[in-house]
Amino acid sequence: MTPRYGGVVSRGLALVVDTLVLTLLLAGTTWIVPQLAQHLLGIPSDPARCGSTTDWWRIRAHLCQALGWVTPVAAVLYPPLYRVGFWTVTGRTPGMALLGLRLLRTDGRPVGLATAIRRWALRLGSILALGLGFLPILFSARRQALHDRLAGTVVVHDWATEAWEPRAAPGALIATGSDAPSRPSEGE
Amino acid sequence: MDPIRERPGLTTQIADALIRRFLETPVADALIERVVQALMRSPELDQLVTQVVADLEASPVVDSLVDRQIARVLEELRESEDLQLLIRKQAGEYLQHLGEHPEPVQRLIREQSRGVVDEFLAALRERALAADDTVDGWVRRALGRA
Repeated sequence: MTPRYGGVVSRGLALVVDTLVLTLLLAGTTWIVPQLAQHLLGIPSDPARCGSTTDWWRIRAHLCQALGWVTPVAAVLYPPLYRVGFWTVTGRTPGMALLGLRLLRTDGRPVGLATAIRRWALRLGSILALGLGFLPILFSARRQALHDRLAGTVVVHDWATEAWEPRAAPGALIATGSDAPSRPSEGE
Repeated sequence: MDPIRERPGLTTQIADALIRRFLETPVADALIERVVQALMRSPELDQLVTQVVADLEASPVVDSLVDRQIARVLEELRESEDLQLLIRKQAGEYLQHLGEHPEPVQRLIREQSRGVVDEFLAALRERALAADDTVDGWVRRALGRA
């Protein structure tokens, strides 16, 4: 049994879901951090009322000013932490889980931290290249984006037997010995 | 003078007595049984019963009669204080039982919810998979590949 590779629609839908989740996380952080700071530390949520920060010992004023950085910092940190974290720990982001997709190495093994970081960085390159790095999904036999090809990863459907082909396809996973990918159980 | 002609009721009485006496004999029993068996075996009786039942079913009079009777019985039940009392008592007992043992109901609701979510996910994944193949087909056609 060989898996079916995730195509542009499945991966696109997963991307939409993940973007929604990230947006919610970011919005939640943007709202909750100033609230916590105000209620626990008495720091005003309005930066205009932070007070002078010319003296180093005015900790609250410095923290108040720092609150303005919460959203940009979260916006920069959340996407890589979210994707790399989920790829490494579960092999799939929540959006991929919803669509029944899983990220594997081309040899069928789960993705490790190094591969996940490499794939995320290369994926950023694909995005910065006006999304051109995603185009190979449409043409390659294993539906690999450019960053997949360079990072040595594939995205497969693993949600039902029907999504697995009964015989090896031209672009099937190269699986040998104990490295062969086992059929992930349903509800994983 | 013939006494029978003088008293016409006497003829009827004598006939009744004779018939009653005859019906009490084993011969009459056997005769009636044979007649009944012959009737039960006859297809005409089947047809007759079927016809009567069909006529009754199609009869607006019977429909109306049944409806009226049901409405009457329901009205009586609705106004019956005993029944209301019984329902309240039973409902109270059921609610109390459910309050003390909510696990089966909770399990049912949980399983039903899970079933709905699973169905939705399965449909979503199947459609996404089919759409992947469709898009691949479009691309292959656009590139002139088989």
